[in-house]
Amino acid sequence: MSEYVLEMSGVCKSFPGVKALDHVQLKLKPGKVHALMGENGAGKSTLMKCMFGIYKMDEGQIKIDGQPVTISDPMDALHKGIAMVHQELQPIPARTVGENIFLGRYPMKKVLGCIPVVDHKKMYDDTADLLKRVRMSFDPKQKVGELSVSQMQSVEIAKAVSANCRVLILDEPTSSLTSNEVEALFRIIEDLKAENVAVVYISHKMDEILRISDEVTIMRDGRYIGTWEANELTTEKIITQMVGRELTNLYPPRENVPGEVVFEVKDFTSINPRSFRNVNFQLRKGEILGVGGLVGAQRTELMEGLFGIRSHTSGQIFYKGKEIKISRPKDAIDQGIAMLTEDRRGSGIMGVLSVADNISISSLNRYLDHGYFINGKKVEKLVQDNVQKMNIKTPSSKTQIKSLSGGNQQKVLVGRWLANDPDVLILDEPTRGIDVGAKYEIYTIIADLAKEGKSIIMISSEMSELIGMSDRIMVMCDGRVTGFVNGRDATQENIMAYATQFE
Amino acid sequence: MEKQRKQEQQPSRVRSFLTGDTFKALLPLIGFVVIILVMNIMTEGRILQPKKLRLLLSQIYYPTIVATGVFFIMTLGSIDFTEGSTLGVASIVVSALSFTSIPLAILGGILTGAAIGAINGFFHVKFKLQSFIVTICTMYLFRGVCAYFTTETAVPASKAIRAMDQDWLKITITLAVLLIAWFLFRFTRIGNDVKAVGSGETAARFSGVRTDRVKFLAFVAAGALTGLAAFVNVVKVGSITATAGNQLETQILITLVLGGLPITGGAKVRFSNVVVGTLMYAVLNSGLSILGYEPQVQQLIKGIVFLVFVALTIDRKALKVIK
Repeated sequence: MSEYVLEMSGVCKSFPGVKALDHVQLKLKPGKVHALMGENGAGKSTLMKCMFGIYKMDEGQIKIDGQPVTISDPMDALHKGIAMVHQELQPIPARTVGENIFLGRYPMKKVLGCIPVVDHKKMYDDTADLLKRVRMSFDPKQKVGELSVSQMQSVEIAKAVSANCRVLILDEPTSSLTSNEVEALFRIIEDLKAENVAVVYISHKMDEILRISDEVTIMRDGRYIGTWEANELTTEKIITQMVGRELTNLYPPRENVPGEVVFEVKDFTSINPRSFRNVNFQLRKGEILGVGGLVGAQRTELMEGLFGIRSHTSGQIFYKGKEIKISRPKDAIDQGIAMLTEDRRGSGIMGVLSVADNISISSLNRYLDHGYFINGKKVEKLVQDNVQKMNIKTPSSKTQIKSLSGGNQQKVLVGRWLANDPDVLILDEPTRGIDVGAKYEIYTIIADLAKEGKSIIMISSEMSELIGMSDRIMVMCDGRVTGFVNGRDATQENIMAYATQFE
Repeated sequence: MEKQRKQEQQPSRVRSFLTGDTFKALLPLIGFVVIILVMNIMTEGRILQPKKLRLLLSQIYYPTIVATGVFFIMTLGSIDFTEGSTLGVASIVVSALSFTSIPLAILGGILTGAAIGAINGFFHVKFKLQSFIVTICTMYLFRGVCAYFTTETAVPASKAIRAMDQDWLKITITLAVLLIAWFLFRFTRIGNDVKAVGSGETAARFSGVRTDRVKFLAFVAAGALTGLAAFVNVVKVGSITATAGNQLETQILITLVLGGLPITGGAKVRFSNVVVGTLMYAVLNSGLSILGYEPQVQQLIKGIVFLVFVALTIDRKALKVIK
């Protein structure tokens, strides 16, 4: 009998132009949590998709209980005891919990001895048992659309458990959970461990990894770097292995000196009573103002309100001493305000258009001849300037932006806004989904901008980033600003204290 | 083992080629060559005789003008089904005004088209209705308007306007429309804004593009072009019946899809889609006529070609976002 429940070895997988996996191995022990780590693009998801039968390996072997197997598709993987909870959950919101869990494999019974129908009673009874196993107490007949994200995730896990899985893959399971919900998830994982299930845990959050996992495998650029016992590792050690070089400083040194107030918001209130209300704050020239808070604190909504994307009922915005009116993004842009949005793919890049089109869209009026005709040379110069200044890696200015990596897309978007020479930059989660190396480059750009005298508002859900980058931190809770913390005095604890001041 | 793997991969490779980007980009050209060859062989070269060629070209002037406007709408990721009824209503206006003054008739046609486009754009933008739904409603509505004025008798046009039925005039108008539209699409802020909306409306709006205005104006412009096409139509046919412009919307869609434009639209389109598409449609159309097929059979064949091209060119990732 093998020590491992599942072994993958020598796995290679190529896509046109890239070798996504190059002789990678992964060995899972029963009853252990195995963390899989690496920067974006390191090949974690590709490896999991090979295990789950979504991709076919070019080379390599999978063994279950020491016996070589081939996994042809996800159905086959489920039959062999492998289940996967995807990062993006895909439930059917209008149907019940039970129907979602047993989708495609409803328990059947025969009416009058010959007509097959769905056995609803058995389905809901089984669902109730499964929910008990994942410590959830809601009604199996509740519509999935009425559940919170974490509850939906529990349903997905219940679905995986119902297949009697021996290997469970969790791909970034905590990316949209609050800390309480993370605790609940960890309890479920402990239960599964006790039942001898091997859990593959993919996450970027170091503290979680160090807490929950027993073993850690690190990948870089499609290659296998190594496997360690979790208790031998520290955050620094993991990052060093992931990046492939020593990272002495996570954040660049800052030389900005905040000056006079350039931007002031008074009593700003949303038309939606549950969103931001009575917000007051000031922003100085050359200052980096961090904005912290829990998910749902309405930070993004506030910034979108200031940028004219959402409507407000009352409140004033003062810019360089004068009151300004903003009712659509164009008004804000014309005033010299820029906003890098949180959802890069949905509201940032224009995927099928070129790098040149994407970088020039907000400042296009600057490159027009006679007010109408786009001067291609001026646009090309803009692209080349930015490519040099920010080290953007793109084959050419005509390349479709969606084919660049996340970090490079983000740099193009930063370039889009800088082309307008704004004085106030609102950055909403500027490093979300960007790998560690590119993160540092973005931080450097932010620090340089502040040094040049630009004022920066930075929303971030990463505590260390917020503390490491901000001159001041504004903390929000449930639509209200609950407090300000000086960057130097900021700790996780005092930020969290403000972030949890519910009324 | 090795052999077996190869066999497994074979069908998927063919499939990935058929759905791949390279093939989609080449499809209009391949289709164009194939259709000309097939039609040339089947008609034993008759389709390329100068006389037939002239007839062939005479069918494509006004559809090309209309297709140019619809091209902009489809670049937005929207769709328009009102071309036929707009052409009908605008043709009635052109004919009626042609007794007073020709320039007034042209202007009247363009304004009528623009007004219908404005109605489409208004409901699409202000009520956030999908253009698909809006234009199906307005298509029905204006088809009714067209029928109302033509039930008793056909609406005749003046002799003066019928005397303008000359190839050079129609060629000039069509080429001018194509050139100006190409220039706007390729080199100006207007084209850029339209492509930006087609590629990602939210991103475009957040970047300062006035997306609602762009969408509204695209519908107005497309309507105005259909109004101009109505003038070219009146010049050719001389009197307007209830069926004027009947099924033009389908013809335009077939044309653009033959030209390689995915039915879902979006910023991946190329301006060449319009030109290649109209030529292909004309060859197909006259080829089928020369071969002596009944109109019903022609429609059947065109329908099959349409379906095949839609399936081959469609952008599956964009399926959920027809606006």
